[in-house]
Amino acid sequence: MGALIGWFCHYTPVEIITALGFTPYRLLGREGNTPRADTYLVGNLCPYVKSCLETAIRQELPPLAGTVIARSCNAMIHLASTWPRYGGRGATLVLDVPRRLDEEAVLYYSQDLRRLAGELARLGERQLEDSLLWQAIDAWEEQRSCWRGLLAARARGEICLSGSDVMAWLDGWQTGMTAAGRDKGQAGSATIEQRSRPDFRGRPRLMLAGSILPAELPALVEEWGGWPVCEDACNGRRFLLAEVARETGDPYLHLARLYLGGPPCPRMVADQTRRQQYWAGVVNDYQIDGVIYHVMKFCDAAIYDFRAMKDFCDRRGLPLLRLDGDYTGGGRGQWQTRVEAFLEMF
Amino acid sequence: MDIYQLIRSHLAGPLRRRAFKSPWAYRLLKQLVAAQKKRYSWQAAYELLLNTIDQVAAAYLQQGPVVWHNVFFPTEILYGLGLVPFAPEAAAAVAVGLGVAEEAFRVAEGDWVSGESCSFHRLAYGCDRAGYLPPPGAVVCSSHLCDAAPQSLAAAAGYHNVPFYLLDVPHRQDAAAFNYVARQLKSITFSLADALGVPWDQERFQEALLASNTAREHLLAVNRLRGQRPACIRGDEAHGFIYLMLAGFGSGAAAAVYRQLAAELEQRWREQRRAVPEERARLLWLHLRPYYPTEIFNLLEQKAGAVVVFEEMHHVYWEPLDPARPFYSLAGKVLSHHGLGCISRRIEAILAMVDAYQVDGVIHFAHWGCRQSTAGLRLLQDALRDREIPFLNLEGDCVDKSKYAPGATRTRLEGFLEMLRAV
Repeated sequence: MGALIGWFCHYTPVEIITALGFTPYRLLGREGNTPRADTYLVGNLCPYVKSCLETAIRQELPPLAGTVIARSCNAMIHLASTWPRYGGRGATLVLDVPRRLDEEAVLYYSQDLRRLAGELARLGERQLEDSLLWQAIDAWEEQRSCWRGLLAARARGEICLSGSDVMAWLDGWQTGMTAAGRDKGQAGSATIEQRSRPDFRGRPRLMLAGSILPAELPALVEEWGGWPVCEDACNGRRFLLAEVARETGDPYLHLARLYLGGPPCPRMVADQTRRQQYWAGVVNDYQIDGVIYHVMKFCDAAIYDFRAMKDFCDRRGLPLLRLDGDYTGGGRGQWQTRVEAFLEMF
Repeated sequence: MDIYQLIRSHLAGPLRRRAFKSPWAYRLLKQLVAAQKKRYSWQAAYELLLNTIDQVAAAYLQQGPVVWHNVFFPTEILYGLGLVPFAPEAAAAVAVGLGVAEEAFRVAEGDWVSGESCSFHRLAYGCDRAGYLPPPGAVVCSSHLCDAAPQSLAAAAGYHNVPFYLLDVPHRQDAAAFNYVARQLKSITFSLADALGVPWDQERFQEALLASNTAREHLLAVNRLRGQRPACIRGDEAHGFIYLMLAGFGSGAAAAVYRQLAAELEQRWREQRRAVPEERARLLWLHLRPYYPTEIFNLLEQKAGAVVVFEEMHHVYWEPLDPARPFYSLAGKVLSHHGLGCISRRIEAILAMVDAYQVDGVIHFAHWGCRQSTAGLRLLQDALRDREIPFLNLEGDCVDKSKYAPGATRTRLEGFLEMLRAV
């Protein structure tokens, strides 16, 4: 296993990291308050970002050779400024992620990815050749495809998976993946298939949505009587992207198209029609009965995305519940009351 | 309930909304302003007000295709196309003065736009849904600096069912970023013209760029004069001109107002007419100010003689535009913003302002929900501490007066003023 490179946003192309012999390590923060990060970043900023900074300040992270910070939203932009000084050790590399999907954006993103690859290569001993990058692209696509297949089977009702197990395995998969080790993703999904056979039949089938979901939310919803069947979050379904036709030629163009063309995050503000189409696809494919939207505190994208989700649900006649959360694991008592009341509607 | 109060409560809203759409209301307003011309201590402020009334009237009376924009979008494009620009964020500040803020906040929050988001956008959202804003023909927005603007303006475009054009601004300033922004600007310009049925007029477009350059030159002259001791204009007065930075570039009116302001400043400088009787300290103001009555500037400037000699928002961060290469030079303007990218750029710009305006202290007004301005303040604070420049982060809200705490604000300002005297 190569040296670890930390990353945050799901628009970060992990293929480049693995192709250079590093191991991508997703930073998902920690449970609990963030008193130290609060001294460096203001109170009303994304709790996920502050949670990640807190883990770095407390030195709870494994040694990282570097960290890739995608300046995908305002909180991440500020994290990119703060991280080198107060946070992580190792190099800090920043990536600009377009907020739109068109040929201009794909071209620009591909150029920025090539630049990132050059900067990452300087941290290691390997030069990045296109052939190595294609290998990494194939390896990751194989793993994602495996996960997508599993979730599709779950959607069709062929297998019954617990949302908490899916999230836990996805989290584990994102923190420590090697280019060659596709077996881990396959083994992970196979293990879920074998051991997770909860009987949730008869319960309302729910989509959990939000910018990033607290890991414990699916388990709690299950505990309180719901059945999460799709997690529309950047640490859930969105991270698995969507299959795209392989381009010959420039691997960076392929990556740009793959990532920008995946299920759109609330930040893709110029792409809202596609986001609504994505929701419609999920609701149909997963036979969704209702939606629980987790609005991360101080996340501007989620605040307005919830509005769009509300309009969508109103049009489809889908029950919708808004849960506000701060990523610290607090507020469970309030959530429980609200989720139980929501589930009574079914 | 009193019957008259009941009638008023039913009529006040509709009447106010109808007044916005009446040409008579604007004529009357201009006459009222003109009647008080001599009461304006700055004729530039008087001209700015008349021009703003005209601009607002053009939007509400739909004298041309109205295009909503955020305050960082290069408005030269809108003026160059002969459109009527309308900035909902600026309208939110006006809404506070018109007394519709409470109602608008209620509407926004009732529609799930929570209090955690920027109150400028929340207020604009509420004003729009309550029917106070002129309907747009299209909406344009740039993504740089602020996350809330693209989200709220995209929602507005969806609500009005009009096209939404996002200018996606990267955080680098390299050739790739330059090309990416320039191509988008070109595409947005021609898409707007197509969608709104506006004929392309090369000459008019170039005139807007030239007007922008002229305004820039006059603003630079204003800024040079403000760098001199003693200060001839109080920050309280100068703040009113920020509107032009946010919505006026590309119009002939911006150039005229700045020219007038520069002339008046020059004259007062020659006559040594001071902004305050005794200038005890010079301050730099970061971000915006509250748009409802507070005692902040009275305490600082009138009582303590600590004059706000410059505002970060008046900083000219861009090079002159090249009318022969309009989109590339506008891309350069967008990408030059000191608030874009790593905070070290903003810190560098602020330290340059500290030197240029010989300031003794810096106040940052931490507007609630404005994450772009407040989130990285610790690094700025560290940089100013290294230079031994006193710094005050004054927390509050520019448009939500319910968040204003007079006692706490006074205590913090007095403490800061003591620190200034000690330095």
